[in-house]
Amino acid sequence: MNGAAARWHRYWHGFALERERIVALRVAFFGLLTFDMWGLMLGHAARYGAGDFNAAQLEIIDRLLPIPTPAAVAAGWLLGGFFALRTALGIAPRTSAIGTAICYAGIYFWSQADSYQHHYLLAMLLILMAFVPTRVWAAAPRHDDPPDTPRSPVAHWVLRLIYVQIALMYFWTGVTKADPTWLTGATIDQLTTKLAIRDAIVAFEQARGWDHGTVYHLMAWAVMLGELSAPIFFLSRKLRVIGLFIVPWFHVGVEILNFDIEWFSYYMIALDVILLMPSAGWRAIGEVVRGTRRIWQPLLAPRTVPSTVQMVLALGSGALCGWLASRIE
Amino acid sequence: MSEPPAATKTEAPPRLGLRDALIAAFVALQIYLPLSYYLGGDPFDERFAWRMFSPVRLSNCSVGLYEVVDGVERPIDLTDELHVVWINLLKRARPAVIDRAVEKFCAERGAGADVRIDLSCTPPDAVVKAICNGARDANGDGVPDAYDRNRYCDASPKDCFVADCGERSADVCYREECRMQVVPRDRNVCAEGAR
Repeated sequence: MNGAAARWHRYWHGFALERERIVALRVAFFGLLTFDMWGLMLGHAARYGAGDFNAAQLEIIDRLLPIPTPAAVAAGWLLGGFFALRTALGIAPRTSAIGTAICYAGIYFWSQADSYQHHYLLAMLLILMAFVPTRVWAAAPRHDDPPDTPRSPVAHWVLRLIYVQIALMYFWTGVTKADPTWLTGATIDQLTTKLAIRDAIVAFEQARGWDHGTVYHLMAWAVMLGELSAPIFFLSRKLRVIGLFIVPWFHVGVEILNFDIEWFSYYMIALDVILLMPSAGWRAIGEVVRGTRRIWQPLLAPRTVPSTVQMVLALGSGALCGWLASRIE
Repeated sequence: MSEPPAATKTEAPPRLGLRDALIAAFVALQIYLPLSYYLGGDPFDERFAWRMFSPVRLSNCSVGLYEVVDGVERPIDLTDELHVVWINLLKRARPAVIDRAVEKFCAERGAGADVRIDLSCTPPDAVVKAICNGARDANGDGVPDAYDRNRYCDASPKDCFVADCGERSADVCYREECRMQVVPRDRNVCAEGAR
């Protein structure tokens, strides 16, 4: 039992990531969330509670909470975007990440009005990330480190759980594709609606003397095999570099084929590249960042902001929020 | 005092705590929820099963709403009852949306209301079954014309038709293979529930 407990402990609590990777994850993931909540999702607030009707993701929420209103949801996404921006910028990252999770996951579970499945993934990742302490997000050097000291990786169980969650997601999406109908290519054929893409596929098949539908058939098999093998890349540190050159292409392909899934592809490309890049890559990035410290550090140094500038920033922020709110249809 | 020999030094075994329970619960949930879909869950409720781009998502559903008053059935315009966002989710046969909609329809009409919902969908494999493109046989060869254009079956049109429909006529086969009745029209959903 002690051996099992030790292995469990090592697996979950001994898993460390480079500080540069963690900072990139924080900036990219929460940065995307900011633009998503303010730029895209805010415009959907009007559909919530439409016709005084709602169905929550969980029945108990229907019993406990009132029907959402466009105003409440819009406020939630405005606030959520603000918390996400703070997290991305490293401002009180723990409380900001918790605030983002409450707003995003709260609205997701409150209503099925927005039916994209990737919102479920983002909600799950945000709930996990709410457990990440500030010392991990901030990736700040220790107070007694000389300025040029390479910074050691940071361990936390949530970091491992993020990899496991994404691995499970790819595994189950792969299981979905192990379906006779999917493997015929018919589903991809139906999903590909952009005429230019369809014409290009037909031209490609004709040039090779292939039957119509062969490309969709091959794509269907490639997607299934790729998604079933993607988990290995997230669970094995040594195989990450292979995954880096395979997995993001699923999501690039989705964008090329013009499937309408909002910003999911960009989230996944960012997560795949950041999480699958080998440690050597992040160490090299860290060296470049440290080497150019003289250029960027003065820009980030704390300073007193004149009250006039503060007033302009406050009014500008208010105007931005007003403009964002006006986009709610 | 000298240090004890290294062989007798032992580290305290790590103690599993609340965080480990959370980890185990989270992973178990992410295995159980998708698995439950494949072990008898509602085929149209894919929300927690990571079924992105599934064939089910492309099922084509139609929904009609009716009220029986004094023995006479009359259709109700669904757009008068629900916002288009929820009509579209109803057309995806989402179980919770169906249940909430039934609650709303029945509550608004009071006790004793008789409301009928006719919700049917194409099965996920309809796209590969030529019969679901129509039962019409214009050339009279006993095989629906759609089989002449079917690229999802490598055999002859007649063999593909037999594989899909067996001994059934094209019309019967179409009704049985190409529509799944999710909520039957003959059920009073206020008295019996939708599902």
